[in-house]
Amino acid sequence: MNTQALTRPRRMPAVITLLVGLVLGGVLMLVGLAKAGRLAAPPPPEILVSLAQTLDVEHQRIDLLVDQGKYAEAIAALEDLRSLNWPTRAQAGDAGINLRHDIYGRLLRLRLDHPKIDPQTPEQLLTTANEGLGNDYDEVSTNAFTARLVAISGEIHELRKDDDAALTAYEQALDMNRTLLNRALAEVSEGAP
Amino acid sequence: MPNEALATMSFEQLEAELRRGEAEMRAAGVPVATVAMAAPGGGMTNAAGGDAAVGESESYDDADGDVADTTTSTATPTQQPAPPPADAPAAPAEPMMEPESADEEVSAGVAAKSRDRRSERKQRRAQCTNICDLANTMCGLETRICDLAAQHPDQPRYANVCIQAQSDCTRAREACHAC
Repeated sequence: MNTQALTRPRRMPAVITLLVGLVLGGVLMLVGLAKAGRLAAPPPPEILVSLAQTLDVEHQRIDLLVDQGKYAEAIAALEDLRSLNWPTRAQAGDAGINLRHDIYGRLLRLRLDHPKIDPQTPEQLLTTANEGLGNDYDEVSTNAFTARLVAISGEIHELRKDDDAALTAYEQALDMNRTLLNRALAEVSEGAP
Repeated sequence: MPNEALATMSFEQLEAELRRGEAEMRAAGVPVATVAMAAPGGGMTNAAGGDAAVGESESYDDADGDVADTTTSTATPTQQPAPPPADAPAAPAEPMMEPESADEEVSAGVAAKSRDRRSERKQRRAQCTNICDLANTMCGLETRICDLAAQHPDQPRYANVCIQAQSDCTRAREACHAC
């Protein structure tokens, strides 16, 4: 009897070894990416739909207040929305973040345009801007709402006399708008005969 | 067709000429209301249709000299043609396409194309509005950036961003004008 055959482990064919390695590597990669949040499951649509509907109604109300020149009430209505339980990016995706940026951008635009209404210091305005932007605003796909809020934060930095931070914010906003312009021009040329 | 030739034509010939012209216009994509006139007693009638009769049948000689049946209707583009009366001349040996059904098909196609064109124009207007809004935003940023640069002449970073912003503003404005 060939004892070597009994004691020596059977050697797997090289191809199968390679395949197992690839599969294991892929699984480990997926687990890692999922843990890093890069492969987050799509957010449940109800959260986003509910938020969008609520904000749509509020925007219309604020439009009316602004048209009537009731800026204080419009600012108060937008301030109330700050206390909403804003969903995270994992919960509502980029669209949820865009909605938040839209509201905060609108609030800060009104405050900057009407500084005597419920006056706030530049530091308070910056707190609001940073609250609106959040920690992951630069991960969101380029959109007009984020670009506007970033540009507004630049204006706030100017009020704080921090020109370097203002320039950084303006440059970032310019980059975003350039991307949006390129996208818009590409759409036009796609539709051209 | 010269006016002299028109003046010598019978009413039936004039009507045939009118139909031919309508078909050509529809083929060119020009929507045309289907209006046909009846000639009481075979005489000329006012194009406004003051003497038009409903449901009368007319026969006419078309350009090829064939006698063809026509059915007439009141001056409403969507009305269905009335059936020919019993004493109408016989239909020609060769079957002719019913002008009304062919015209309806052409009109439906023209209407669909017209809707598509309107939709495209609307979309294009929205795209151009977007581009011009972006131009306003970018040129506003250029103003702010270059004002900062003027306050920091010793810092090349400010000047560089200002130059970039000016280039972006110019490009965006040109895109808006071109749209």
